[in-house]
Amino acid sequence: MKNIRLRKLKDLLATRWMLSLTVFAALLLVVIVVGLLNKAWPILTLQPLNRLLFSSDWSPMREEFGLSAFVLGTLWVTVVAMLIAVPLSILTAVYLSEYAPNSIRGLVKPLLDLLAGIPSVVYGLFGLLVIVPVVSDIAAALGVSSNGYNVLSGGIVLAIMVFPVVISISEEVIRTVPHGMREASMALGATKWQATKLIILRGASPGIFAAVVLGFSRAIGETMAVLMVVGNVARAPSSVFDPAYPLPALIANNYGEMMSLPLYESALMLAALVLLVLVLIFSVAAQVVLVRLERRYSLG
Amino acid sequence: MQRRLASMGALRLIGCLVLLLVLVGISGCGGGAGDAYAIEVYTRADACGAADTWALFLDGHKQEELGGTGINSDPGIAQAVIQDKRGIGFNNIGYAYDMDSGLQVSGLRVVPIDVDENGRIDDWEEFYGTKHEVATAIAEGLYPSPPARDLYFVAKGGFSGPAKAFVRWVLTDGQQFVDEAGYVRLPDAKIADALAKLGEAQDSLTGTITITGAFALYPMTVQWAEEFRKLHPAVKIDISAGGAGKGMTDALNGLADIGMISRQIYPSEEASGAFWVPVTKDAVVAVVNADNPVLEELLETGMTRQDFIDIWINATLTDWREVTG
Repeated sequence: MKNIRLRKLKDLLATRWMLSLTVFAALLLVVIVVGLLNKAWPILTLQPLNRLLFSSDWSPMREEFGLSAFVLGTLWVTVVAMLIAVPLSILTAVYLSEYAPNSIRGLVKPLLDLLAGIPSVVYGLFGLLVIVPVVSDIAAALGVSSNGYNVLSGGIVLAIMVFPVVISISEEVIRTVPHGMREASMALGATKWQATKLIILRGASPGIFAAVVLGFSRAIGETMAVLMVVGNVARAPSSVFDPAYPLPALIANNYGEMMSLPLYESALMLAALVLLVLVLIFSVAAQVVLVRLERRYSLG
Repeated sequence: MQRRLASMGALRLIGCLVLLLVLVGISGCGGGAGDAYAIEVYTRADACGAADTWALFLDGHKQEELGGTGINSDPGIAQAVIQDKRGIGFNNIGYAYDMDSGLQVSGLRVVPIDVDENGRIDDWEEFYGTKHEVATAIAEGLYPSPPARDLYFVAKGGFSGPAKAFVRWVLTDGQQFVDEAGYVRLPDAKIADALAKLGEAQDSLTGTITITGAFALYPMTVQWAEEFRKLHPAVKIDISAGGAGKGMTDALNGLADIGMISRQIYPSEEASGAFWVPVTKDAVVAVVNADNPVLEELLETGMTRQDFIDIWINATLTDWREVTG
């Protein structure tokens, strides 16, 4: 009798403990938002929000803190990275799961997993020493004047960082599509590519989409590797051969100016807040799309 | 059938977007077709003393007003200019000259400054061969100041514990290593002032000293730390470089015992409790690629302060042939 009561008590304690840990984890987002808002407040009370967000004039010493060039820089680099990474990743994942013999799969998979674990500063150095000169040559071949520190270099480095994650998840997802479905479609006369395109990819689409979103969130917040190759000029880019200055780079580069001007710290915190809100907007939008995809293509 | 069309549409859409991007990329900045004489301007992206000092030299501007592609860290700028024949950048002398040999870093050339603006480099303006020659010119005031400048150690409120002992040693016995490291000695009066400011000894000689900040001071501080540890093996010294801005912010936040600073200290930082002493001097120099298209003329004519202003601030000087006239 006593023993059971003790066990129930233990059970209750364990449940409560796990509940409080869960609440703590969920509250972290709120704490971060409130903390950033609190630090960004001085500048928000002094300057109208639309000027801060949509002005492109960044001259802290004159107390001009327009963030639009940085927001656009972030979007340019991220979108270019995804345009490169997504088709490449999905086709690689399809090949690995549907076409590749086991020997190649067994060789490539661990290599991709290793790629995912490389620290970002190493990617940055690789970008600096290899990608920047190559992009500079490409620009010259196209008759464009660029020193190679631009949106395209940033996008390529980011794409390289993103695709191990997207490939690895997409490949797992594609393999979960039941084997019977492949066989059924091929029994009806479909070629292997038709079966892959019309049945497998469609069935796996919610999972692949989720993988792409995960890659995107890694890309948008990546700091060090991008900062090293992207040129860091506070002006909105108008082509992939223009330099850009993404928000994470702004925050990292100017960390040291925080003490120099009272409003500087506040402006950087606002930049962090804007980045956070951007990521939140994309996450919510992705969630909505994901739910619709699942409803439409669910395998059940 | 409809779904099949939808999925094909999605694939096509991605294809079109890629194509569009390439087209935008090409048309976006056509024109200036990779001119071999166009000047590629580099500046520092991270908050640092070199850029602040260089901007001060160019008519008292701030780092944020310097144009050009922003590159992270001193070694980063050196690397960028080494990779770009048309490039121009600025570096602390510690990164324009090789640490061991004292010669100019291979792939880079230091641009002589035409101080009296007579259109050529006179004998007295020619002192860029080795780091030692430049250091001598800085000490004698031949090289303009700025971009020559004092380098500082900073702490919040004041130095304490082993950090204080280290700073005191740097200002006394440590000065003997300054010349050999390619830096410039402070005048005796300045050292005496710094020692007076540091205050009376109550130094402890155990524990860890954390030092962060300016790339300019990093090699010097590493050497000082090695010599100091020979005398006091119980003291551990951690040094990392991350720019003067990081040094200041870390020192004021208590993350570092000593911040290495390579620019002036702003009034707002003083108000936040920044306590500093000068420890040595160096300078920022302009660097170009060793295969610069007009290198020979450039070394004869040098560049004036106005040339630099027109390159970094006004962006009106964009062709190497115009520099050498």
